[in-house]
Amino acid sequence: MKEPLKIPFVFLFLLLCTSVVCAVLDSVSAWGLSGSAGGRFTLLFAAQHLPRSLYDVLVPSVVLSIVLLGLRIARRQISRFLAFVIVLGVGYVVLVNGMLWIRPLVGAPPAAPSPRQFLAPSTFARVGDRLVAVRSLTEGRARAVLIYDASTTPRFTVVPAADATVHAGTLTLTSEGPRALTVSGAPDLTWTSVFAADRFTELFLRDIRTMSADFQHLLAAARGEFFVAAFALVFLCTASLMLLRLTRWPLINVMLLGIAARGWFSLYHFLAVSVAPQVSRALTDSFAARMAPSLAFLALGVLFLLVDILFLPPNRPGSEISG
Amino acid sequence: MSRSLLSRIMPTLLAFYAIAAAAFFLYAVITFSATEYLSAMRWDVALKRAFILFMDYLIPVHAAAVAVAASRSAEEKEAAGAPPRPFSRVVSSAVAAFLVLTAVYAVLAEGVAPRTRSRLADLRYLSRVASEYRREATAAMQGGDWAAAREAIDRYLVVDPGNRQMIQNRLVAASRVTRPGAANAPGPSPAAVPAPDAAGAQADVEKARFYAGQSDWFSAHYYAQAAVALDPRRADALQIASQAENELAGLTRAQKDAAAAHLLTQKKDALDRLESGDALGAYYAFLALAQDNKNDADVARYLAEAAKEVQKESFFTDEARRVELLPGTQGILFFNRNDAESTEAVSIAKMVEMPGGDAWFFDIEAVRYDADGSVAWHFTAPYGRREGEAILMDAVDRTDARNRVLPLLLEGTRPAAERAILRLQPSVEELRALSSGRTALAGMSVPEMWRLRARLGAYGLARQSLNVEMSMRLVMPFAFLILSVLCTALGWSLRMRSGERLPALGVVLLPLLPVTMAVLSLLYLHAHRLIVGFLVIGFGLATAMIVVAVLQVVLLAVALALLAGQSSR
Repeated sequence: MKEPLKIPFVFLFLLLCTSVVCAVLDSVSAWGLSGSAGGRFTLLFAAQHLPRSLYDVLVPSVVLSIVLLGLRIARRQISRFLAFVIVLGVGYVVLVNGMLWIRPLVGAPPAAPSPRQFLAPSTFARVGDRLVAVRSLTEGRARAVLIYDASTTPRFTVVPAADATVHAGTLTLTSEGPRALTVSGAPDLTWTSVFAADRFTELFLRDIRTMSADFQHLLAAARGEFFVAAFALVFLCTASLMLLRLTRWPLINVMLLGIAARGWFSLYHFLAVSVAPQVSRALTDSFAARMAPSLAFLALGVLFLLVDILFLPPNRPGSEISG
Repeated sequence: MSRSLLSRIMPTLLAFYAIAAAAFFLYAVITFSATEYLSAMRWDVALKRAFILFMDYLIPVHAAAVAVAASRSAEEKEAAGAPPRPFSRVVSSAVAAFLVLTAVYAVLAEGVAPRTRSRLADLRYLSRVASEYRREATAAMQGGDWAAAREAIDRYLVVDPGNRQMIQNRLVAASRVTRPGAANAPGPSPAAVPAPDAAGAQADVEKARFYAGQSDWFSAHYYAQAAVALDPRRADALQIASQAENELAGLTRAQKDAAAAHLLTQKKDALDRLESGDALGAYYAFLALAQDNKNDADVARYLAEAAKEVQKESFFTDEARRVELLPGTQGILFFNRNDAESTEAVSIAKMVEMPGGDAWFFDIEAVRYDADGSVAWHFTAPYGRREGEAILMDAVDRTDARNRVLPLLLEGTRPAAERAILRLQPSVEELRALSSGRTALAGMSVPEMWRLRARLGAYGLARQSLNVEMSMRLVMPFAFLILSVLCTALGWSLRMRSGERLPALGVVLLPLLPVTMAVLSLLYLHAHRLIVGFLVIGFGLATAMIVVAVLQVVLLAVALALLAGQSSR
C-alpha cells in the first residue's frame, strides 16, 4: 500500500488511541470529582460518562493526532502538498463528524455534584481560602458548621446550621440568624487536593476546556460557524507541521511543534476570552466576535503555509532519520 | 560513534543542571519578597527557594538534557569502514547512570527537599515574628517605655543580629532604662534619639548626691553607678558609689539584727506559700528577697525550688519567646475530640519540638461545640507548653507578677481548674502531620506517612489525600527513571546526521526544549495523579499500590523496549 493511502488509517488509529486514553482519564477524574461520594466506581458510571468524556476530549485528541501523524510523515518521502491535503481533509472530516455523531449520545450535561461530595462529616474541606467542617449533612442542610479562616482573629467560627449548595464549581454555605455568614469558593476534598493539577497543567487544561466548550457551543447554536472554526483549527495544525522541517535538528523541530500545539490552545483562550469581547464592543457584531479566533487561526495557518512553500526544503531531515 | 552515550550525556546533564540552578537562583533573588522575609535573609531564602524550584522542575530539565545529549551523539564521524557498535553497548552505561541518578533524585526529593521546605517556612514565620517585635519596639520607644523597647529589640536581634538600626536603637533604649527620670517620658522617634551624652551622666550624679544627702544609700549607689555607666570619666560618681557602698556595709549591729529578723519572717512567709501549694506566690516572694540578699543560701535554694514548682503548672514567658524563634511546624489544625457529645477543634499557629520530646505551642485557639452548633467554650492563648498529655497555657513573667498571660476566653465557660490546660489527643509526631498546607506532607517522609495514615483520619484529615500524596511520592523516582529512558530513545531517534554541526537556529531555539519537556512531563505526572486518585478513592490503598506498581513496570518495560528498538547506525 502506498504511503499516502496509509495516512487516513494511521490517523484514525492515532485518534482512537489518544481519544481512549484522554477519555478514560477524563472519566476517572469526573468520577473522583463529582461521583465518588455516591459509592464505588461502577462500569455503569463509566458507560454513562464515556460519551461525555469523548465529546470533551475530541478536539484536543484531533490536535494531538495531527501532531503525531506529522512525526510519521516527516520520516517518509511524501509530497508536501499531498500530505497537507490528506491530513487537512482527514482531520477536518473526523473532527466535524466525530462531534456530530457523539453529540446525540451525550445527553444532558452532568448534574452538579452534591455538597456531600466535598463535605464529608467531621473532615476538614477547603472552600476558597477557608476550611470548613460539618458535623452532619442532610439534604443540603449542614449542622454544626465549623469555619476556619487563618486570616481573621479569632480563626474559628461556629454556626449551628447552614444551607450548602454547589453551582458552577462553587460551593456555598449560607447561615442565617445572629451569626449569618456566607462561605463561598472552589471546594476541595481537603487541603491537599487529590485531583488538582499543578498550575501549568491547570492552565493547559483551562485552555483546552475553553476551546472544547466553544466548539460544542457553536455546534449546538451555529453549525455554519462550527464548520469554519473546525476547519480553521485543523488548517492551522496541519500548516504547523512545516515546523518539522524548520531546522536540520529533528529534535528541536519536534519540540517546536509540541510547544506550538500547546500555544494554539493558549492563543484560542486569549482570543476568545480577551480579544473577542473587545471586537464585539468595537463592531457591535457578535458574529465577528465569535469568528475572531477562527479568522486569526486561518491567517496564521496561511502564514505558515507561505513560509513552508517559500523558505523550507521539502523533506530536510526525514530521509536520514533511523529507528 | 566512538564515544559511549554516557560520555555525551553527563556533560550535557551537568550543563543543564547548572544553568537551571543559576536561573532558579536568579528568579528567587529577583522575586524575593521583603514583606514576607527579613531583608537579612535574602540570600538564605533565595538559595532555599532556588533548590526547591530546582527539585520541582528537575524532571523536565533532566529530560530535556538527556534528549539533547542523545540527539547530538552522532555528531562525531565514524571511522571509514568501521562497523557500528551494538546499540546495547552504546546505551548500557547510560541506563546504569540513570539508575544511579534516580537513587540520587530519590534521596534529594525524600531527604533534603522536605527539610528545605520546612526551613523556608520557618524563615517566613521568623520574619513575621521579628516584624512584630520591631513594631512593638518602635511603639514602646515612641511611648517612652524603654524597658519594653529594649526587651522587644533584644528578641528582634536574636532573629536578625546584624541589623544596625536595631542595634543603635538598643543602645538608646538601654541607656534610657538606666535613667528612670526619662523612663516614662515619651521619647523621640528611634532614629532621632541622640547618643547618650555627658548631660545624662550629670543628671544621674545630681540624683545620687540628692539621695546621699537623704541617707538613702541604696538609691545613691544606684544613680552613681548609672552615671558611671554613661560616662566612666565621672570621678565624682565613683566617689559617691564608693561612699554608698561603705555606708551600706557599715550598718549598726542593731540595724543588722532588725534586718535579719525581718528577713527571717519574710523567708518563713514565702516558705509557707511554697508549702501550701502557692508556688508562683512563693517564687515572687523569694525573688524579691533574693534581690536584697544575693548571698543568702536559703533564699537562693528556695527560689530555685519555687521556680521548679512553678514550671510544673506554668512556664516563663521569656522562655516561650526564646523558643518561638526556633524552627517548627506551622498552621496545625485538628479535631482534638469528636464524639456524639461534642467536637473540639484546635488550631496552633506554630509548634516547636525540643530534644527529649518536649514541645512548645504558639498562638493557640480552641473551640468546643455540640451537635447543635452550641459553643461550650472558645479561647485563645498566645503560648503553651506540652506537659504529659496536655498543653499548659499559663505563662508567667520571670520578674513581674503582673505580667501573667492566661488563655482568653472568647465564649462560654471552662472550670477554673482547667482554664489554663487543654488535654491533647494527638502525639507530637501526629501534630506535625496535621499542618494545614502541602508543606506539612511535603516535609514528611513516606514511612512516616505510612505509619500515621490510620490515626490521622480521626483528627479531621481526609485519609484519601494522604494516601494519594504517599502514592505519588512513590511514583516520582519511577517517573524520573522512565522519562530518562524515554527521552534517550526520543533524542536518539531524532538525532542529527553524523558529522553535522548544530544549526544556528536550533541553538537559538534550544531554550524552548525544556519548556516543551516541562509541559509533557507535567502532563505525564498529572495523568498519574488522576489514576492514583481514582484507584485510592475507588478501590483503596492496597489495590492502588499494586496497580500503580504494575503500571510502572509496564511503562518501564515499554520505555526500555523503545530504547532497545533504536539502531546504532
